[in-house]
Amino acid sequence: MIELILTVVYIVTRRKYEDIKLVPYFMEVFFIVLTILFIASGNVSAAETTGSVIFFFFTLTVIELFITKLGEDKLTKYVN
Amino acid sequence: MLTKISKFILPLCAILLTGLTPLLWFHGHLITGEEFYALDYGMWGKIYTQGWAPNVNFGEFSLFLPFKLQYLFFHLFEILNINYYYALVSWHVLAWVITGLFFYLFIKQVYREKMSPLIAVIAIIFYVFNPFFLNISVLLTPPRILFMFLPLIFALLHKYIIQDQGGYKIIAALSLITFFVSPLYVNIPYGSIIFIVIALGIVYKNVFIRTNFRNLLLHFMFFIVLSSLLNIWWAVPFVMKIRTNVGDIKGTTSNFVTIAASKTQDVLTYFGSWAFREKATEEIYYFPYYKNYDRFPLVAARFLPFLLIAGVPFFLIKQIKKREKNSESEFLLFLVGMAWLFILLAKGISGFGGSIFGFFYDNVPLFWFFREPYAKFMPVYALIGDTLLVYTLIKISTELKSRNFLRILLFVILIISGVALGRPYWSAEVVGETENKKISSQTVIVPDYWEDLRENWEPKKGYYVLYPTFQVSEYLKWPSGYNGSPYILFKGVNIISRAPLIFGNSGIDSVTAYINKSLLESPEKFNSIAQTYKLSGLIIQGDAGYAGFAGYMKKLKDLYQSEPAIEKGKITIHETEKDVSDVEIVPAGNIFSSKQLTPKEYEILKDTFGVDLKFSYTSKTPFEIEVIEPVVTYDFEKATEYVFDLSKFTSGKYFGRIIPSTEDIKLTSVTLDGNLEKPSKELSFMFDQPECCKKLEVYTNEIKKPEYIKNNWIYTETGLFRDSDDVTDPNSLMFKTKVSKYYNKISWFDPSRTYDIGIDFGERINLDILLSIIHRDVDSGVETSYGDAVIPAGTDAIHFNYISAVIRNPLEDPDYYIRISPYLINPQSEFKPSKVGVRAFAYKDMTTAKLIMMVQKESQGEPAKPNIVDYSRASQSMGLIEIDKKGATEGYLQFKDAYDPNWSLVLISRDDLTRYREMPEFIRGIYSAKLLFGDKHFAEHVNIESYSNGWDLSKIDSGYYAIVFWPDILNTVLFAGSSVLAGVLFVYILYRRRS
Repeated sequence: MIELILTVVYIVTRRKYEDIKLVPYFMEVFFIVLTILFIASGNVSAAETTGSVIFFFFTLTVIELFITKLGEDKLTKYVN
Repeated sequence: MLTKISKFILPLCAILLTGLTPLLWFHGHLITGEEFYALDYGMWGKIYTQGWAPNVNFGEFSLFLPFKLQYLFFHLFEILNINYYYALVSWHVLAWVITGLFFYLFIKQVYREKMSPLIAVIAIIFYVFNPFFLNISVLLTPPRILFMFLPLIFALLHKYIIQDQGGYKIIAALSLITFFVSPLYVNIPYGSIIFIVIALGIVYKNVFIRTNFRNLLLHFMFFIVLSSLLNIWWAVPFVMKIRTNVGDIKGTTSNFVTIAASKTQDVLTYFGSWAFREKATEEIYYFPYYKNYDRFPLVAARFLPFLLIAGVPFFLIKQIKKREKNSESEFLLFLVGMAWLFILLAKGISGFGGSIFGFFYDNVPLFWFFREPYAKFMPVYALIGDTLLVYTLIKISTELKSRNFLRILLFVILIISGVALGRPYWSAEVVGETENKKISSQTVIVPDYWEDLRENWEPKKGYYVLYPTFQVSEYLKWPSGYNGSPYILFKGVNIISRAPLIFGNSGIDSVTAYINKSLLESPEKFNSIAQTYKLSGLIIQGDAGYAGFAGYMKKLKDLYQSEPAIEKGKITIHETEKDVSDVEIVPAGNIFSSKQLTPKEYEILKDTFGVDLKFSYTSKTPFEIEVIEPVVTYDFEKATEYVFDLSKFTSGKYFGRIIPSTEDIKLTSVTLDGNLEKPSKELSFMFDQPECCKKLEVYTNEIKKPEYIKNNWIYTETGLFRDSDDVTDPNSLMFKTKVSKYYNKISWFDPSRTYDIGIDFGERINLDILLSIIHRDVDSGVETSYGDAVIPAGTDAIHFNYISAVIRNPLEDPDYYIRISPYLINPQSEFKPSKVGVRAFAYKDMTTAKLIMMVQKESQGEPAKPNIVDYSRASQSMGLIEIDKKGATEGYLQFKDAYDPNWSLVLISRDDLTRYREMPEFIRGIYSAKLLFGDKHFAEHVNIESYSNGWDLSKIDSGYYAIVFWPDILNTVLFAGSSVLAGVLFVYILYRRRS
């Protein structure tokens, strides 16, 4: 549920703040590096958590891609 | 021209080099393993690609019909007289080469000239060496075929999505693929993945890209109709069988549910493989160097592919914003969406979005098929991931155009990563050596005496009891490992193995137990039942690895030492004296028609006779009476009497009772009559054939005031133990499913007696659990259930009545257990009882219980018997027979293949009988469609002797008849139709392409 709320918060926020659109990419890379470090240090449970976070940010980048492709105007029109 | 060719040379070399990897697994010997029929695909295919497979335990419906095309591949080698070893090598090498080739053609079609040969090589290595197969077995046919054909499907979807008009030709080609991949439908979830992918492609194009709902509907309908027609040949027989067995499948498969086994980082790090983990079970691949993949630099190499895949949305957004090549971005968008979806599905309920899978699993009908989500969904992500990887590499290549060193360095690192992830393949460690007998795949060296047996022994037509054996995969002490089917060790031998497949026929277990018991009584006894059960002999496997049988093996050898024997190395074969037949005319007095009681009827019986009514009967054959299993929850400490509550009942077949013959008295036909509607102490039983001999006894146990056996207070309260196999990675719920099975030994238990059992869980249980009374063989781990009950969450103690189910199997050591496991595997719930107390009272033996009624009549002399003039078996699913009634008015035709309602007796002409005998098998199959219109409703089909088919001859005349198994006839006819349609479509697609 918390992931769903965060996703909705992101979608709402990104319409107002253009710069935020790059955040998912950076976060994705950051958590990939973090996960690699956790695995290498033998902290499996931490790697599971960060692995899940990677997928969360991947989800945001995919949403971003679909919004771009389908066109924000078109989407706004549907929402309104 | 040379430049053009050189572009293909590198990728083709990569395809060939990676594709030849299976050659490294073979060293002049066969390999089998989880694919336990790999030892002889040809023979397996011959037996199991017909609707009825008669070789084990009186035969069974074959769910392996879709293997037909794979069988034809091996059959071709047989026709060409090429050694099976080379056929098996060719199968694996071809599968690998085609996998690489199809994948290359697909990415070439998508990226065209933009993809450099080196990038293609990287992608090919990652795809062909994908660690996905290290989760299961490299030999398994369904995932291999899925993996092989997915690129072709996506290539067609690519064309479909990017083109503006039409699409019917592509849909026809996609439908045609669903025919060619048919062997993967032996595993329906794998098969469904193809349909899901194609359906998503059609929806994507017609909803999101070129919104056209008319096309969506028409294309979808066109695909459904065509693919249905092309697959109708296996689907119809499958549905005929499965409609009554869905519950069985769910129950059987629920033992292995791994919806939380793949953590997100496993799925992302190429590709959900557990291969690089510590040793978990003997069956799962294990590589001692697994820790290397957790350390630098390989841990980074694991994430490198996903890092590149994750870059696709970034580059693609830039491309879309520049409005570059719209059609390419449309397809890539589809791939990115599919990648996201299939990662989400493959990781099951783990991590972000896991609740979506959980919701589907709990609420969408049949979604529980995907109990191993990584195995079914990962192949799709493997393909898409690799394809997207190419996209990022092309983009990076462009960015690094002027920095050749960096570019080449990246490519080299990627090639090393791909090769490193594929180490178990090219190092041939995916195929185990002799020591590890249970690994998923292993080299098999068949001992000479088995080869001798296969080549030189001419078995009789009846069944041979294979002793000892347990299950579908055998454990033999050979110099090499062997994990395969016992019945494909032979050629043309029918066996009784007590090893039915999932769809083994109900009731067969009690019959095979009875045969095994007779076998151990004396050779005379075994001979005396040979005709009834079509037994041709006994095969003693001196090389079976089940240590618990040593005592019985000695007893058997002592018993049968004076009998003539065929000795083949460690195998000894004793044959029964007479030739036995598939068919026999039996007097009506031999037939017992048991009727399943409805809960209402049972309630009436309960009111009439007490709560534990027992039927006891004397017959030369065992059978089961179906009653209701009581499960009542209350504090057993206060229990002084047993109370039935029908609302808490679940149906079961556990409480029949087998009484072996002590006299040669035959039982007449008996049915419970309509008096059940009027509760009365004088419950009557109607005898259809009063002139024949019979004996029926009805007892009660007087459970309301139980008389416990004096000084037989049974009490045990011990700590629980877990299966010794269940050790392991606490992070993998795959193993938790096994860990959470707890066993409490009940050495006092005897399944042939009746008990009042109370169980104290020590605390309130926090989830629904399945409680079973089982026998567990120490050596093989094989478990036999004597009864199951679902105990709801919140229960702290239960009390139930175990009613004697079977005679004690003389083959079994007294290793009985109460087994407790989660009912629905919900990995989020932990179940770890600290102790379980078990108390039980043994009731008086049934034979000393109060006799309510006994009816017995003497035989009035031998009635006239019809005669079988002539009989022959035309095929696995057809018998041809001529019957002369000779004025007899009663009798049944017994056909000694396992009872199945789809068997039928059909009147035919003499000419047709001759034709069926003389026609080649395939033509006969087609011609037998005529039988669909024959007269087949005249003779009542009954179950005789608890295992076989029978038809009442009183209602038919003398004449010629065919005994047929309908699903097989439908299979043959429909396969011919589907093949013709496939041929027509093929020509149509090629023709259109040329024009």
